[in-house]
Amino acid sequence: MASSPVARVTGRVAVPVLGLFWLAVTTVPFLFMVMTSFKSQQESFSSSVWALPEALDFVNYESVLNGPFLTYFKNSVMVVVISVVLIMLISAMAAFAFARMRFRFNEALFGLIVAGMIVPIHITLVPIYLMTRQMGLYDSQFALIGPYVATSLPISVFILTEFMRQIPKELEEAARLDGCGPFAIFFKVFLPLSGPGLSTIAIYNGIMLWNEFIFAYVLTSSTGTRTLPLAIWDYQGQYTSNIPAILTVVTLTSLPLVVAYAFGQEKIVKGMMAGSLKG
Amino acid sequence: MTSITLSGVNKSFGANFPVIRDVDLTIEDGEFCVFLGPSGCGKSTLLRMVAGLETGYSGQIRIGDRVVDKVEPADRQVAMVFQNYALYPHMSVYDNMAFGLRQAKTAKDEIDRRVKDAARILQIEPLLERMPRALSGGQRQRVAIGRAIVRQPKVFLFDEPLSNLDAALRVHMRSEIATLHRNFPAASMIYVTHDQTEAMALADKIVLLHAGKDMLKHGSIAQVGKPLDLYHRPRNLFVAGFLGSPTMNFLEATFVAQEPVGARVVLKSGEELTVPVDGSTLAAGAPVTLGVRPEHLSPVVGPAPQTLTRKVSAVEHFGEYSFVYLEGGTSAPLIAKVPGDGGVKAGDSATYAAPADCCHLFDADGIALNHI
Amino acid sequence: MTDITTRPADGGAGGATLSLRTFAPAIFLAPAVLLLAVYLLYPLVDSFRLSLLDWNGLGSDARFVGLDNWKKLASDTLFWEAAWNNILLAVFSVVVQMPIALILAVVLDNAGKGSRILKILYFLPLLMSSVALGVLFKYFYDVTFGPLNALLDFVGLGYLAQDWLGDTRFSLGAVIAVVCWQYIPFYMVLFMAGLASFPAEISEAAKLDGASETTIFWKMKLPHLKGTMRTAIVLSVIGALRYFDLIYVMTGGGPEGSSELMATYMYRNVFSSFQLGYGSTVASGMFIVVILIASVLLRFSKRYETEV
Repeated sequence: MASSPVARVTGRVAVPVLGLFWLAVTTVPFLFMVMTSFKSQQESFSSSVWALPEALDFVNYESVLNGPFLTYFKNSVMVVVISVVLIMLISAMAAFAFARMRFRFNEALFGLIVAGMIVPIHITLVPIYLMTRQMGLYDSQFALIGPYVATSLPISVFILTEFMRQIPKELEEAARLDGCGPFAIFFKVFLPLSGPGLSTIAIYNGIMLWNEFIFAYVLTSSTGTRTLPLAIWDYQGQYTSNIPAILTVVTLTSLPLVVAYAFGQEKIVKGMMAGSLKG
Repeated sequence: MTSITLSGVNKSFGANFPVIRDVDLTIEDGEFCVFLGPSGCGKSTLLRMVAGLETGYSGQIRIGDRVVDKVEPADRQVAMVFQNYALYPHMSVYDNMAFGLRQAKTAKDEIDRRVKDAARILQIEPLLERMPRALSGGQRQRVAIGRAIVRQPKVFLFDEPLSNLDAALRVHMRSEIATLHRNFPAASMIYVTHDQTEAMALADKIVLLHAGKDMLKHGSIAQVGKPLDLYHRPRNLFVAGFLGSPTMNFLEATFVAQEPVGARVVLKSGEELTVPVDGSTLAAGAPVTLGVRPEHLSPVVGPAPQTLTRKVSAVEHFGEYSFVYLEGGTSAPLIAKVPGDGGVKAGDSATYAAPADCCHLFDADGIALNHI
Repeated sequence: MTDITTRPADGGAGGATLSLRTFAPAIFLAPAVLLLAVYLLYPLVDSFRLSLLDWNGLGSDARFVGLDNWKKLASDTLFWEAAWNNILLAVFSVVVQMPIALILAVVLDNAGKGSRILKILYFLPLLMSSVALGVLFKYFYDVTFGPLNALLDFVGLGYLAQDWLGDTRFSLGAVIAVVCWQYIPFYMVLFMAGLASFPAEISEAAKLDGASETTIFWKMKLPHLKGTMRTAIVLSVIGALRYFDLIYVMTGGGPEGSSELMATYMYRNVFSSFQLGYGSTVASGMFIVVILIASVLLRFSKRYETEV
């Protein structure tokens, strides 16, 4: 049952060709984006769109970075870091309860929380908007943290519970013999051993929340409180037809994640695939 | 006083799954007691009950004078060595051993003294700063034992600690555990294993446990006693067949009559033998089982009072001794353990002496008849 | 029989007291349950409550209208067209993404040394926020200045140039293309993991039996991916039903609702038309549609689940 010549040629030629084709498809938009960001506004109108920039003109970058761009960045960092820390702690506590404690409704509650992964979060947008206004949190970074943490909990709890189930029961028993109550067992044994699981959900949620748009858009309004994805939206107004400038903003907002990706590529891919574990 | 008493202990997993039945047991002060039995007999469960890790049983457990049924594991003054060592992977050897003491808020220099002492006894001082994953199986086991020692418990509990080690290491660690027992004469030790060699080697007292139908019929405990007592005076077929390797030979027989020197029986194959037991309760023609250990079947040189002649089906040579497989056993070939080469080969006909005082007789229920 | 003397001897600290121990599960679960109740459960319920009102969200003149909004929803062609668009998105995202992702996974599987770099580059689209992508491709598709039309012009296919986003015939397709572009790497990695989990011994045994690589691929590796494929399809469909960000940025749902999705329609009703009541009806209606389709899908595909 040797492969036919046709199959072999297809294998040897078509497959690499497709691979290269897709490489082009993937990278061309990015190249276009970066390329254009180095053009001046006039240049983008006068010369062909696909032409390389005449010179590496940083005028757009200067203009963007002189604006409130760094404020957006700072807000993103603050909101995402606080949210991720809270997510790790809260989901770890819940996961520990589901994985290791015996109580009524254990399975039922777990199923309910996991089912929360299906709910389209935009449905909660309006009620949360109203609630946020009522709480007086409107247009503050803290408005985002509650929804961000809550919407990330189902999948985080799901992943961490699976993870904690794998921790050998004997360790828990040894800790009990050593005099640990449930809190000591959680903080001194389970939490340290959940490192890989915690980093997975930190990365997954970190990336999701970093790029989150609609809640930030609805719950904040002033530049002082808005996060990075909104920079692009807000700058659209300022730079209306200055395409290179807008693409500069796009490039700059994408840069942090790409840089992080360059450093921790393996971990980030693994983390982002965490969303696929629901199966 | 660190005797341990179990009274009327019963446990079932759910309504239809009894695991432990009617266990009444006392382990004396400073005794090395082995819980032995096949898988499913509940030996680990019993151990964990003493540790406080298993609840949901009826009956009472006392450690010393204290009833401990409702006492937390950490308060029972017991220490446990787990089958898979259960070392905290994220802590160094030192921290693993110190963990329990730190939880109890023991003074720092006291902790240090105890850890170093235990490390010295177990010769693991150079390993104190290492992480568990950098240790070999035997080293991990020693750290697990060290963790138990530093707690200065009244009872040491071992849950099949050697089953994950390779054969040579097992033999070595066995002697180390025996040494441990000698070094801590005040502490009692309960040791769970399915390996009867370990049990015979280490135990002051063996508790052999039934599983399955036997447990339902007779209760969990098959026999309790000193190792050699169980070996030479098994109370029933189960005990007789469990201890000793290869297993005792069993032959179907019929009771003929009780004579002053013992019970006379007729084997299915026709030979008549007398066994010095009290069969006076048996009716003539009652079915019995004759048991004789392989090492007691010796090749006949010259005339002998009770012999068995059989055809040899196979011979296995181990150098120092050989197993001769003979046809004609009840459900398995008879095995004779003979010194050297055995002097026979497959197909030969061989005769072996079954000396009366080495034979055992079991009634139709598998209970051993008393020796006179 | 039971004599509770818990006098701790040397070395026994005991840990938590009895009452703390009984409430431990509750304490561990409390933060999560609380947050979910406030930010997930309550809004869900509140959405249904709001759907019974006629309110513009600003003043306090909310009028209770009972099921009027729901009746309106049932006969609202715009909503059902949006729902249909969601379904088209779901169908196309599966039909387009799965084969391409699978091919790419095979490419990477056979690429040897180059695969590391390829994998890194292929993954980039997933790192971009949907806003960034939306804006980027909005200009990509631009009728006058967009590179796409410029490229078509360049290769002599200028007559194919369209107002991709502004033409009702093409807007949905253009948007679907971007969604696929963004998420194909995700499924690619999924399939790669599936392929990697294929036991090497089986292909070795097959080779000894004389099978070729192609045979091994089609007859053994592909069936092995059944479970992964199921997960991929479920994720893709459920994701498509909830889509919002990218569409909103690129087209806002237009032109004339040609690329409207349920979520964008909801948003428009609430924040453009100031119809909080009806918008909430749309949201709740969307919830029901998604839950229904998701449960049907999950139940139907149960038999393709990988045996553990």
